[in-house]
Amino acid sequence: MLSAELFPVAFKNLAHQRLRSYLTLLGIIIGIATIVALISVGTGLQSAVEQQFTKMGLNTLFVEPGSGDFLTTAIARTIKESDISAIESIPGVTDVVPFYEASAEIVHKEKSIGALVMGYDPKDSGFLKDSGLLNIEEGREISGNDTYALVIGKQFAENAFDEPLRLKEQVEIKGKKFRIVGIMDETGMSLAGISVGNMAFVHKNIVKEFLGEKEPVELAVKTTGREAVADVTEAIKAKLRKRHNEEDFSIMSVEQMLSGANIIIGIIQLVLIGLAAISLLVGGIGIMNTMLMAVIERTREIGVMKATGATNSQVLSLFVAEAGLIGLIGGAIGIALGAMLSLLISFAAGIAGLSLQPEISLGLVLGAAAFSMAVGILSGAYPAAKAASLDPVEALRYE
Amino acid sequence: MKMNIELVRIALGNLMHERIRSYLTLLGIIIGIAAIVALMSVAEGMNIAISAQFEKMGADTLIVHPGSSFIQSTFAKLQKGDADKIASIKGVESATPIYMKVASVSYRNEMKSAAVIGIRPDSQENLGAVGMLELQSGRRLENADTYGLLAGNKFAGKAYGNELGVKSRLIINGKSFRIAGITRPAGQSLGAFFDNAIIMNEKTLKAVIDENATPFRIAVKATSSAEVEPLKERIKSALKKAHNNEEDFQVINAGQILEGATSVLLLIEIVLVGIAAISLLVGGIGIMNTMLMAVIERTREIGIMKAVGATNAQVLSLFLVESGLIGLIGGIIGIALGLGIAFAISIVANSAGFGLPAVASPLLIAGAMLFALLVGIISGVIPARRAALLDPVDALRQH
Repeated sequence: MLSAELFPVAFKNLAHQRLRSYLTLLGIIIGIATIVALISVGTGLQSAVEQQFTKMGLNTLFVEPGSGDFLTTAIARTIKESDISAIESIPGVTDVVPFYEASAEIVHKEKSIGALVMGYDPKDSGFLKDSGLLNIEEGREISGNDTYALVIGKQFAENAFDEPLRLKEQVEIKGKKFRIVGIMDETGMSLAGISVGNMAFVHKNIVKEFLGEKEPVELAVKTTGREAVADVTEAIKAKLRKRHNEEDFSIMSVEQMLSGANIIIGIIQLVLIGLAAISLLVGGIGIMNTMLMAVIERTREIGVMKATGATNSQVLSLFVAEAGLIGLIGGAIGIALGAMLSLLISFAAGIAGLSLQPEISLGLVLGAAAFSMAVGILSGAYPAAKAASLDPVEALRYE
Repeated sequence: MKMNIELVRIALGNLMHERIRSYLTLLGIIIGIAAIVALMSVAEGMNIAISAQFEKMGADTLIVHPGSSFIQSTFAKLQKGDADKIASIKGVESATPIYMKVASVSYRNEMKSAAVIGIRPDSQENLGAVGMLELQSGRRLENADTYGLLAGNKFAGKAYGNELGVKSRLIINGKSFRIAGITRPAGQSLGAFFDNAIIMNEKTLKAVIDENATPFRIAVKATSSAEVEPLKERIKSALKKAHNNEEDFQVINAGQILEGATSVLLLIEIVLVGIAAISLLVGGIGIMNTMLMAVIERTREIGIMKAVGATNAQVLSLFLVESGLIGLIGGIIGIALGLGIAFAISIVANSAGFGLPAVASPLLIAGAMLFALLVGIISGVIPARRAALLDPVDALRQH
């Protein structure tokens, strides 16, 4: 078998038509680089989302108002304060954390800005911190003794008013003075780095009494473990249906939210990679073209090879090796370029305030290399078959 | 230049001489252009669909919604008298409050929570005219209707299997209602809420569901479209006064919403077309490769041309015409293929229930053709210069 010798010969042949080989390579490099960059950024995005949900705990589920579609969930207020103790008594539930929300205008030096005000019970601040929803950067969270105290987001603090708001400064809500006791990193309240807007945390009593939203808008339910989630979901459903006489609520587990997010990211990635793969197809056509040219140019050489005893399959493998080599080299350079590109993208995203760590896994590198080599071999198959089937007599006569 | 037509004929002859190579090179351009044209045509169709929805709303309509940002709009509230206050402002022709509540609705003993919208029956004409509420079957609400209601298209189709139709009976809070009409799908317009909701008389909503309901939106029609901007300011200051000097609402016009929607669409289009354009880049590299090969093969021919008096410019233009032709022909076929794909996508989308027209605008066709030609010519510049600058003596000596 010729195969050990095959690659040096193939390489030499490619180097002979240097310019043509470079340009053919370039086509593959660009295609592979785009695909690698998209996959590594996409995977990075996916694991950022995954991390965020995992922090919330895969043993957590949320009870939301409305029947589960966006519209009713957004406007319904069907969860009752009394539901909390009812859920707490269900076996497998370790904790129920209610959230209270209201909208309010925050006034500072005559200027007013609308914000979403979230009220929580200070005893639940552990859950908020552990689940990454509340990351204090400066100051402290709301304590049990606080009344007119406020924790605001960093971006809100910096950008909402003409001058940035600082710790211990006062703002006004509905005519009352509130003191800023903490400034938080907003990424906790965002999804995959996209901020949900102006937001502030206060003591739950502020929302319930001062802003008048008595009932919780949403409940986070902690269970004993991930396996308990399904049973607890059923038990809550049965209990609340009895209490409310109807199913005017919906239950979402963190695991469901995670798989929902993964599906969306997956679809986006599929579309983008599909489009990028078109350029690899065009690059493959380039390889086919180059190899066809090579076969025509080297017709006499093929004749000589055959006349001196080379079999059809040896000729075939020589040309397939050449095409495969273009694919492999193009792939290797493309992977390197794609990795750099994804670092560049994450850098640019970082400047825009989005934290995105690209992931260049061994699987991606090997997969991309194998794929580009496969593209090369597939594109080379037809020209190689053409070379192998040449009649040696005719080929030797060719000028 | 008299030679122009002849030049094209010679170029075409040269391309046909190396048939397979030319076809493969063409294929690269065809695929790239087809991908771009298909994407842009679908995007343009989407844009037109959205604009059409909003244009119906008219330049003389304003929408008042609660909260100073989107996320707040579900928490903040407008006040009971706001619509009447706005109606009395100079330059307002009508101010129509729209209510939305969540209620449990049962059909044949199956209970669901659903969004219920309350309107004044005599505002249907206005809402219909702005594309928010048009009927597919049945009749509109009449002032005398208390227990007649309209079912949103999606609600009727999905909430209880595909069972609801005109005259179906629904029970809400113990009262029996009859469906008088079913709305037409509102798609992406402001009427999108209506699709998933049931619509009843404002008076009935207050009597049966919530006597303290406050408007969810107020649709304001100005006496003339020239009045819209100053009117916006007048509404703002009047409402601010009524809301304890807080600007906890927003006044927006159709143009603003349209701008938001189209700018998101544009961003998506840029990303997708950008990725698709990479395949055109690869196709262009293919042209460059093909032309470089042609220059090498035809070195002697170029030598002869120059020896019998062809100028550098003539040789240059011959090769540029050849590469330009590849671009142009590839462009024409690619445009046809791309539009075919776009129409296929549109047919599939329509049968899946998304109204998505594909658009073959002259601008897109001309633009794509020009772009393909340009790609061809630019890719040909280096090879053509190489040919033009050949030394005739050296070139003639070459085998």
